[in-house]
Amino acid sequence: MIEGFHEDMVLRVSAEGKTKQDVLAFLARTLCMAGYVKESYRDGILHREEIYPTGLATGHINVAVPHTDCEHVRENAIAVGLLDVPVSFRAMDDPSREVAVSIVIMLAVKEPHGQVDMLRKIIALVKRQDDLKRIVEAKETKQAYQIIAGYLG
Amino acid sequence: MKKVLVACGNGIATSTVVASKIREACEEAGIDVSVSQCKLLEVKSKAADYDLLVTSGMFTGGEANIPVIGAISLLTGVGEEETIEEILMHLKSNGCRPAK
Repeated sequence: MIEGFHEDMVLRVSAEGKTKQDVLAFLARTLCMAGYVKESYRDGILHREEIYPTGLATGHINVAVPHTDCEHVRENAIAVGLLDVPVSFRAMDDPSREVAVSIVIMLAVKEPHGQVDMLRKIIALVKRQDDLKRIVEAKETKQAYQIIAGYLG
Repeated sequence: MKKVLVACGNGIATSTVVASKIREACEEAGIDVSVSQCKLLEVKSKAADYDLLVTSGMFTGGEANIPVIGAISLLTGVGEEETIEEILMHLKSNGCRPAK
C-alpha cells in the first residue's frame, strides 16, 4: 500500500467529446468526494492549468501532470485518469502547442516539498513508454494501479 | 562557481526535479555549481545574478540577458542527454574551475 495512492483513484474516463477542463474537473471531483482535497482544489487545478499547462510530450503516449497549490489539499493523494481517447492539453514547455494526452496523473500534495518527491517518482514513470503502454492497455484498472504503484514505492 | 537559476510555475515542483538533475550531472562532470530555484514570474528580477537560466515551462517574462535553456526533456525523457550536455557546455565555458 502506497500512502496517498489507492486503487479506487485509478479511473477510466470516457473522453470522447470531452475537453481537458472536463477531465480535470472530473478527477478533481473524485479527489474531493474521497475527502483528499477541498472544494477549492478544482478551481485551483483549472486556473493553474490555464497559466502553467502540464502536458508532457513523452512520445507516442503522452501524459499530463496537473497539480496546484497545497492550500487546497487535505491529504496527499494521486488520481489517475486513463482516457479512452486522447484529449488535447497544452504543452508545459510551449503553451501554444497541443499535446494529445492519454494518461492524466493529478497530484494533490499537502506539503510543498512532498510534491517534489512524488513528482520525481512520477517523472521516472512518464519517461517509460513501455510501462505507459501497459497502463493504457491494462484490462483492469488494478493492473494499471500496480504498475504505477511500483514507481511510487 | 557558476550559478544556475531554475524556474517553473511556482518555483517548487518541476524546478526541483530539474535542479536536482542539474546538480547530479554537474557533480558527475566535476563542475562546481550553485543551483537556485524561483517562479517564472520572478525570473526578470533575479536573472542578472546568474550565469544560466533553465526553465521547465516557457519563459515569457521578457529579456533575461543570460543564456536560457528549456529543459522539458528532463521531465519527458525525450532528448534528455542532449539537454544535459548543453547545460554542462554552458557551465564548463570560461570562468569555471577545472574538473578535478
